[in-house]
Amino acid sequence: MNTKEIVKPAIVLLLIAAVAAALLGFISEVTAAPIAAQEQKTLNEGMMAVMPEASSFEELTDAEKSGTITAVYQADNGGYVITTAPGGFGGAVNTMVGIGADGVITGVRVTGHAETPGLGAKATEPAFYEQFTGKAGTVSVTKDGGEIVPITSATITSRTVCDGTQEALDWVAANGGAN
Amino acid sequence: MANPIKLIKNGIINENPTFVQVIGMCPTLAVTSSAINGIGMGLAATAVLVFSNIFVSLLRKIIPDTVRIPCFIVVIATFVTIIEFVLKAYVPTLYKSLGLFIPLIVVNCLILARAEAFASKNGPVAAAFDGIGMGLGFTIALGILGLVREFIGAGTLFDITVLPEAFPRTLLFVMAPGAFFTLACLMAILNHFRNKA
Amino acid sequence: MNLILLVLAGIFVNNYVLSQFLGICPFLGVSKKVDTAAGMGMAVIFVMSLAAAVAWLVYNFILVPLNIIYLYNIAFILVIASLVQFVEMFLKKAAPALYQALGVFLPLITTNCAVLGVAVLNMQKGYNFIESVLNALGGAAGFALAIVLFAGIRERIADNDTPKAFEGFPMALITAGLMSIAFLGFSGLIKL
Repeated sequence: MNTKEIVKPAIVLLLIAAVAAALLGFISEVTAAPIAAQEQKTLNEGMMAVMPEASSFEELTDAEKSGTITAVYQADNGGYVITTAPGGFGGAVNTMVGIGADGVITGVRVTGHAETPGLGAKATEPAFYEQFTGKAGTVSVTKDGGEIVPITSATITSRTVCDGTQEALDWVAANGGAN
Repeated sequence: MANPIKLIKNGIINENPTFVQVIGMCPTLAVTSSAINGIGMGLAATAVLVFSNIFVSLLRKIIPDTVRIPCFIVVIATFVTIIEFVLKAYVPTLYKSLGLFIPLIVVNCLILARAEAFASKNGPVAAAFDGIGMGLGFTIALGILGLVREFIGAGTLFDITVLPEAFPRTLLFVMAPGAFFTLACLMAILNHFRNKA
Repeated sequence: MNLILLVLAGIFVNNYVLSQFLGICPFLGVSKKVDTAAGMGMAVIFVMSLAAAVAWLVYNFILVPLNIIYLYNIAFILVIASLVQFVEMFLKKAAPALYQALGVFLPLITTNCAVLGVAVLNMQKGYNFIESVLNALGGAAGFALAIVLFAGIRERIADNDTPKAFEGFPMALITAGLMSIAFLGFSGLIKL
């Protein structure tokens, strides 16, 4: 094989890769703003759902995050919205919890999960998550002596959502007074 | 130049990627727990397939034989990434439900197979129609699989409940094993008719 | 302890083939004989662990510092393609018999979505280097286990009568479905 046979393919491959990289750089620039807007919109809609009385939220970036807590937001009415990712049946169950300034849960939503369709996936339905609204202190499923009625055949998922919610409650109990 | 209608029909029926060629199986089985997901995946793959076919065909005289596979892969990966960004920006719900399988369109054997077997040997127009045909064949197969699984497993069609609430759902069908069984039965039915003919 | 769980979860609970649908093409294509299936399994274990390691290095030392994360897909697939090429050359020299047996299927590892899948998953989950490699190792071992078991069953089925319409792929898919049900029994066993 002479040098020409090696150099030409290498140059062509390099050129194609360079053009591809430039094109992708451009596309990622163009779509960066809409993607950020979409993410913000989803986040805001979620936060409004778990805390309907608040109108704006601010992330507490320096909040001390314990357990599976992924982010803490302070609402303008003194409440908190906390996102947690406790481990469920099929991976992390992303749970968003709204807790008022008085320590009472204003709402819980499951925002992302990989639970079994038709069983654990029912955690995203109102019949399950609305049970949390108005609770305070500790939450657990009826099997563990609590008040939350677990989803039929999906006790693990139900417990997981309780765990995530509990972490949020504990965080507010420990840190909420500071503000 | 080949007849566009023939090329499209070829992709949908004679050489249907899923039922006849049996390639691109991973997304076929993974995302078809509902009809919407199946069709969404099919259309995303079709878009990538059409664009990659066109560009591979345009570049076929420039690309040296020795590095053609890496070149094809770069072209395909570029379009997959573009689709990924576009879906993320404008159809976030679909992006979320297809998840990992969007970046994995890169390794969908269907796309590389068409680049190698068709686009690198034909003109851009024929390659585009081949992409459309194969893509539609893939989309239809995924749509049917999704429909069947969603109906049996969740009692819904396109998220609209069609089975009465009291009718038991066979949850297994929206889980992993159901994907294998549904595809097996669909292929057996097709085989049955082909054997008769 | 967690690291051991990560490997076990990859093998049984989140089995790539039977519950995540990654790597179905080689799973169906190279599973007619147990020895070729085992060879493929070994090749995947080797390539996948290596690919996860290299992909992690590329991501954290090239893509992130240069702020070009959007090129991850191209970068990963090129890493995998070159690795496969390397493994191919290595096998050709070191183990010609195995190379003969795997034949055309070795290049197919490039389009084994489990290999790219594990690299992307490691990135999305933010695993560190050791976790990434172990996750790939577990996933690949799970793939190898599934494909060897599957080939064993298919060898038996090949000697038996099946309904005419179910011959070939449909029968293989039914078999895979039954195995998938069996592996469903592992789900939820390990919480990560």
